[in-house]
Amino acid sequence: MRWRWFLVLLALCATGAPPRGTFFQIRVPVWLEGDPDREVSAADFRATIDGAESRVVGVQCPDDEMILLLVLDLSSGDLTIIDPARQTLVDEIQKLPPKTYVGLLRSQDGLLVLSDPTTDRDALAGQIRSLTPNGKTGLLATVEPICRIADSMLKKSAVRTAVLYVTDGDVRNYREDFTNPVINSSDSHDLSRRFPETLVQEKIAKLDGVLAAQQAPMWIVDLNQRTDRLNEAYNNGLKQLAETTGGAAFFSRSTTEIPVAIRQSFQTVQSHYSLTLSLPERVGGRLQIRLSMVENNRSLSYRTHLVLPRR
Amino acid sequence: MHVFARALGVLICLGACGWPQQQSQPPSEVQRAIDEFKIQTANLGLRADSPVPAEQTRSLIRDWHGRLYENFRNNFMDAVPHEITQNGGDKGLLRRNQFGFNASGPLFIPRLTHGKSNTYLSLSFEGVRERIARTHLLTTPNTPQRTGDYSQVVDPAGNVLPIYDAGTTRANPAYDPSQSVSLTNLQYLRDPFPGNVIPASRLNPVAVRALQLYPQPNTDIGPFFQNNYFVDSPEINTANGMIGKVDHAFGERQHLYAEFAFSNGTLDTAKWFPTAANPGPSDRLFTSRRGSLQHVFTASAQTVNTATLETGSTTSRTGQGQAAYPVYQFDPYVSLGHSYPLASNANNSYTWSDAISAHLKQHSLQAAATYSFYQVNTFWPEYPDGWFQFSSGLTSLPGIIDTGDAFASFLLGAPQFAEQSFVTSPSYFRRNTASLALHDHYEPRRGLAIDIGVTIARYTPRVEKYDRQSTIDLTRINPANGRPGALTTANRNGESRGFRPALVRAAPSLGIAWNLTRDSKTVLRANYSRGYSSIPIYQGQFGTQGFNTYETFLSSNSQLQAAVPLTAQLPPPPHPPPDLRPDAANSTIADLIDATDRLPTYQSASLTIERELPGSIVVSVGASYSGGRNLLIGDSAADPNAIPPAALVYGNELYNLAFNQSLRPYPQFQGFELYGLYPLGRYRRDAGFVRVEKRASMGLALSAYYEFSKQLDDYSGPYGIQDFFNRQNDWSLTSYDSPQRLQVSYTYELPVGPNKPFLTYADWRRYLIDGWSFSGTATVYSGTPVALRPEFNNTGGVIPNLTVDVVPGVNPEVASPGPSLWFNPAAFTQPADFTMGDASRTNPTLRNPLAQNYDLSVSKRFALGAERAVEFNATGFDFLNHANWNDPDPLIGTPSAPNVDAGKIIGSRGGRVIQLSLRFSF
Repeated sequence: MRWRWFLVLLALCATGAPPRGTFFQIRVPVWLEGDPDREVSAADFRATIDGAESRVVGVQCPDDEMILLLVLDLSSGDLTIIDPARQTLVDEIQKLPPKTYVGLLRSQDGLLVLSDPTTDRDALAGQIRSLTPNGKTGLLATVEPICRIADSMLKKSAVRTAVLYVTDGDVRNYREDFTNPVINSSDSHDLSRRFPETLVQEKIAKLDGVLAAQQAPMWIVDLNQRTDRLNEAYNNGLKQLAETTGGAAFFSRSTTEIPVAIRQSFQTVQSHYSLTLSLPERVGGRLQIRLSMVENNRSLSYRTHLVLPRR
Repeated sequence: MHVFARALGVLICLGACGWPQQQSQPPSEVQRAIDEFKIQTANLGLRADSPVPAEQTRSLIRDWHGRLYENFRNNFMDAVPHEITQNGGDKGLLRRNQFGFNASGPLFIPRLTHGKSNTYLSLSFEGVRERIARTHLLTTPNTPQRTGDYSQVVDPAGNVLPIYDAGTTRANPAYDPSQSVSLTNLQYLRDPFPGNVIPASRLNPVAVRALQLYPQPNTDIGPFFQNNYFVDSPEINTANGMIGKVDHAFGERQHLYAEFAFSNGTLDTAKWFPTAANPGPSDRLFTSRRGSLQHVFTASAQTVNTATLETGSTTSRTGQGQAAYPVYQFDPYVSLGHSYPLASNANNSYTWSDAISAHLKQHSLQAAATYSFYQVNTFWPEYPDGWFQFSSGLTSLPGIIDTGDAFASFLLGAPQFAEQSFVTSPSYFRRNTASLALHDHYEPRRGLAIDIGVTIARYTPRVEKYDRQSTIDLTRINPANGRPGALTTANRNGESRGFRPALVRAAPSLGIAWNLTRDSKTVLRANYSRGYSSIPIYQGQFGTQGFNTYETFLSSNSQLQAAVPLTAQLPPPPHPPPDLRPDAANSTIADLIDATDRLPTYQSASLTIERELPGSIVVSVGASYSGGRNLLIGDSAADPNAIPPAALVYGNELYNLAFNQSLRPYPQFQGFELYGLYPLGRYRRDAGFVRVEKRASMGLALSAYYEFSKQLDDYSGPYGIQDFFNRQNDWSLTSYDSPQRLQVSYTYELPVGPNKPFLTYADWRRYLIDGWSFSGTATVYSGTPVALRPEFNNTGGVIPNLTVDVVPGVNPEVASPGPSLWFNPAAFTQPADFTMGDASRTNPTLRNPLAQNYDLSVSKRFALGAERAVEFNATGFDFLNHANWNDPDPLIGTPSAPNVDAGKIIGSRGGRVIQLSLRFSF
């Protein structure tokens, strides 16, 4: 039996060494302002990481192939919100360029693949229209595995990969408790619930630490922004998580804003460039990324930080 | 392991999804990514056709999340509360531990769930152990006073308070009835006690015995002999509770959610006196039980049905095993004994609801039906050992204010009123509400949404399980005097079970959301709604008078005659309960249940504009109106048996009980007890607000809310309204109206640590630097209106809630308001005897001091890997140790006996409280 343990040990050692291209290159989402028709190449960019010059080894443009992992987290059962969202999603998917593949997942009641990345728009539309509109909100419970999956895809392939969450969830509707509800109603001197946002902030802090090391950008569309204190903290947390990955969060304050928020998110996702940078040796920890155009005639916005394990 | 897992995943994926199409060619970049997606999702068991990953069955701990925590408070961390400092005291005792856990995750049952669970469980427990000092500053009679020696006792102006001997009362032959009673025109002559000392032989033996249980003064705060007894006594609070939640999915279309909660608590209250005559509240036992079951059925992607069943029960029991004691009340001194010494109450509720939602073209429709059933089981005798109320009247010079003393009347054993409760059985009250709500969300065009709804509800009145309910039928003839108003009982003699009909009301609502700009950054919202609320069931046995007797003893003239001699025990009732005679409630303050079809009615409208600005800032500006009528009010704001103010012309004749009673609309009753359930109040509130929210960026999130408002009503206030016959006369600022309110809350995560811009240490220092955050709130709100009250009320009981007179031409405001003088008391005066005050119930311009509060929470998080963390938290409530001034003394005296403290602020309140918390989360 010992030889089996030896093999297991050997396998573990093999997995411990990162494959080339995983550690020494990173992917950074970038947006260019100015003439969208003008082609750009790696040579057009200049990059520094923690102040040291870094080589731009590849650029994926908005016209190139992209895989969008669309994660639906529709748990409220409120059709006044969910129906316009479904319709807008179908419309936006139909409008996507042919080279954009969409993988569809749902995260309420746990993460589940509904469709592998595909360009079959009609199949996606059917899946979206038939999706169950209720359950337990799942964004915070599923954001880590989906970003890891997207990150793994980025590392395996040069294709642009992005995650887009569309959620209508309430922080009170999670299986994990972030609300710290009153348990003993006779305890009239309880001061521990004066800052009700503590638990959700703690969860966000944990996730933020994990997502800071993931390279795939993530966007979040909250279809139903709530203004109570607990949900305010939750919304702030969603924004923080999305921005940590280089993405952004969009909030809809009424049903009339739902189409706009979804449309904006699709536009932003679709218009992103993905730059591949080679890393200096022995770099690790929090990396400060700075990018510029060689001709300096177009302004950039991009992810400015990435955390890598220290070597 | 990862190698094997990955290989397994590939095999599974290839088996499930088929081999990649380009087997013979190198896969494209997209195909490589898609393959990776399939492999990863298969490995994680995220595909519908994924077999159960072997590792999942062995990692139950990994799938469960939760926390363990302890919140700790101790008086050594707190500031001395300002009110304690001012009383010369030190910190009170505080020992508090609040601890608990929460855990949630999938439920795995070996051999049943087969490694993959659709059932999730969440359990939370919390325990509390607390010992806290309770402080009260009270007034008790001083030592000479207890022996009848009033030679040193003074009134609020510092003048000796004369005590008269009721035994020497005689008619004044020189009295001129055409003139009002005054020192020069007395109706009755009465001699003061020699030397202002009541002889020992005249002291009532029951009173003397009771004084043995009445503690001596232990401080000397003043003014004069007031505020001389400081209570600093521990209260012990213990509680344990648990909440459990289960949810289960039956496939994709059906979900079942269940929740249960229970809590048990005990409160050993602070003892104001260390004797059986303790006037503080009794010890209490609490229990709470709650459960709910919800089934969600998704008939199609466009149709969802949600059925819910909820039930809840709370019980409280007070005074179990404690000896009761009669109540001796003699304001302004602290009483002996307390009301409701023994009680047992249970509130139960059961609610069933079903809601169905459907989408049709541009309409989202929702229909919801709800049925709620409420029970209150209550055993709550108010004065099982008797209540003796003493006033200054029997030791005063009849008709002359600022003479006599309630405690002196107690020493002489001369109460003006006495009552004893005879409650033979608990009451089992019930009511229900059924409603149907219809709602349509309609989007006629892009950027415009209209919500229209209506709720039709049926409200039933309160009934008693065994029909042991009674009220006064204001139309039924009373056999004792042939006047309308007689006791009537439920479900007897043609009376309904609830005395009032079941009422059906339709409540409409309308809302509009309109995007004013193409970029959807500006939203206009307009809302209108009208609603009704049912008349609730309160704890207590209000409305059971025929079945539970309240025997009352009234003085025929509170200045001349005691209601009953003070004895150890009141005489037994002549008609033991149940006493359902139509005149059984005569001469009592009778319970009156409103029998009209009035229901509390609310209406509101609002207009808001929201604008999203650069920098993640959202600004909302709005205005709102709300109003209500038929709001539930109590005895101080409504009295259907009030004497009309015109009767004030009778002057001192009003102290003759028989005459006084004859002026009432229902003279056979002393008054009516409304129990806060009389639907007659009105209010109106207008407000404008600005809200600024800065969403999190660079670790900082900020939210600020400012509101400017004005609220008026005809019922609120600490003292009640003056004119029951013309409520418009009492339409004034709401007593708790705070016209300006600012609230700011913020969270800031310090930008230091390994993943942050600054101090990115990777060595041991990261444990010190990383994970610091601050949260705080600041609240500032302007003062409530000053509600002035005359020191004396010489209106013969016609105007129980008298306001003051305004002195024309005198500015009520002072140049620099401060504790020494907040307002000018010279601008007000005591109304003349037998007249109403001409000032409004709450002053339209004078405001009490503003109040502010600042709370701050500092957290340090220690990450223990990706999933686990320990968080230490220190929270300071009122962390600046800011003192808010108390309200100024509102009592206005006469020119000859002014209240020397009127307009002055005595003391402040508040003090920093610190709580430390430690939480391990996983």
